[in-house]
Amino acid sequence: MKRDFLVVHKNISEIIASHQTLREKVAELLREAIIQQKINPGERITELEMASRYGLSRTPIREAFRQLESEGFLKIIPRKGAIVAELNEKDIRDFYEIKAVLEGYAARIAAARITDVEIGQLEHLNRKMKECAAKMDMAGLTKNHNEFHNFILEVCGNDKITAVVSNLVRQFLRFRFFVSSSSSLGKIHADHDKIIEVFKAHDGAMAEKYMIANAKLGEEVIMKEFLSVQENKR
Amino acid sequence: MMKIDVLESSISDHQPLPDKMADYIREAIIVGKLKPGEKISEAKLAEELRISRTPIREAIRMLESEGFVSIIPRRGTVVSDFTFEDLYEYFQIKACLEAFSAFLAEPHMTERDINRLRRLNEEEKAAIASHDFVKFMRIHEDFHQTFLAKGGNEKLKKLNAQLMVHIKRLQNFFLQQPELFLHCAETHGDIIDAFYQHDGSRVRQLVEENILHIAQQVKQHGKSLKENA
Repeated sequence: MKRDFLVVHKNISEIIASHQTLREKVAELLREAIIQQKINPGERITELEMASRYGLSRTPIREAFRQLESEGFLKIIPRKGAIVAELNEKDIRDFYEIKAVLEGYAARIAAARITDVEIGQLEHLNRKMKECAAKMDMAGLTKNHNEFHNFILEVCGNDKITAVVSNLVRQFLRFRFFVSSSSSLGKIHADHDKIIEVFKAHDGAMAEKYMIANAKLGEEVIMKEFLSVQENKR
Repeated sequence: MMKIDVLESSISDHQPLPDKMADYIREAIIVGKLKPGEKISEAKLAEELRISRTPIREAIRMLESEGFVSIIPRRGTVVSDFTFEDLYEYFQIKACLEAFSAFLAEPHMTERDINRLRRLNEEEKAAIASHDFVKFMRIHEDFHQTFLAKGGNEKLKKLNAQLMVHIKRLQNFFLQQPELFLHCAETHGDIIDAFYQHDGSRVRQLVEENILHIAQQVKQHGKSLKENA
């Protein structure tokens, strides 16, 4: 039965003890279910159904729906509940365009201020990525890849860019599922080598250029996976 | 607190009540009627406006995700403080994204659009000459919207709109910086020329430089506030 995810695996007192609001908890459960593809794009969920499954009032459910709508996971249809948002090629292109612009800018700023110690940390992350790729450890590869990118955002020093990018990335966690099955991700660390080299020279313009190229490669990898999954569905 | 009948205006505007409430509270924060640190009581608002607490609670959640209020356990909802450092960071993002939006818009800009930009630029200069800075800011926003509405990246449009909301908190600061308006109006002339020459890269560069220039002023102001404190 598809609806397994709705089984309450924590009771209300545990939720309260964990200092999470009901809205956050419901949002988290639903988000996880969508990322893990336990509920599929186009599928409908209603406040009432959720409320009775969880034994909650409709208010926290409605609030969770709204939150997930703003994160791009759901589309709310007045008086009908919500449907899991479909993802299409345009969503992927739009996302990578923005990621390229923001990460490119962050790399430009980071190049001017990055220290030798920080470059050493980037080299370490890139080495770990290569080790994971060699062992076909896709989860480890994805983790180190994301840390590499987040680290550059941190060096840039603009917390808001980090927040905007991670909020966008969150909407695309569904694609991480595809990435983990992709071998072409290994190519990305060659790009990372180039980024590290220009950081050593503190060359902002080149750092921006390589960062944008890296986002373009990411887009190609994801698009290929996405299209092959779409093809298999038919 | 609220003079209009929210429920009625929500119905007549075809706007959901929580959205209407969020607009109202947001506006009160932007113009400074509600000050950073001030408490917002759901119960009091519900009583004054004669509506139930549910739409108010939803509005407050929306404002929390936008960063206008903080919900503190056992204390309730307070208007969140903002620093010029935060707004400097938002401006950097705005610079990147708007410049890129302008680049995407360039091939879609018609002669009519460019003429509209010229007209708005004239109006900007007239507003500055008559020291009507509130009017200037309104026209300035129209100028940017003319190209932000073009181009096909929907997520980008949404992000631009979200950023605009944050930056509104600087309205009072900008009203005291008329020299910035002059700088904007002049740069807008160059941007129009670049659109006219179909030079998307130049448009992008000018928009980015213009906004980063404003960002620097915001950062400087934040620094001098800190030093004086």
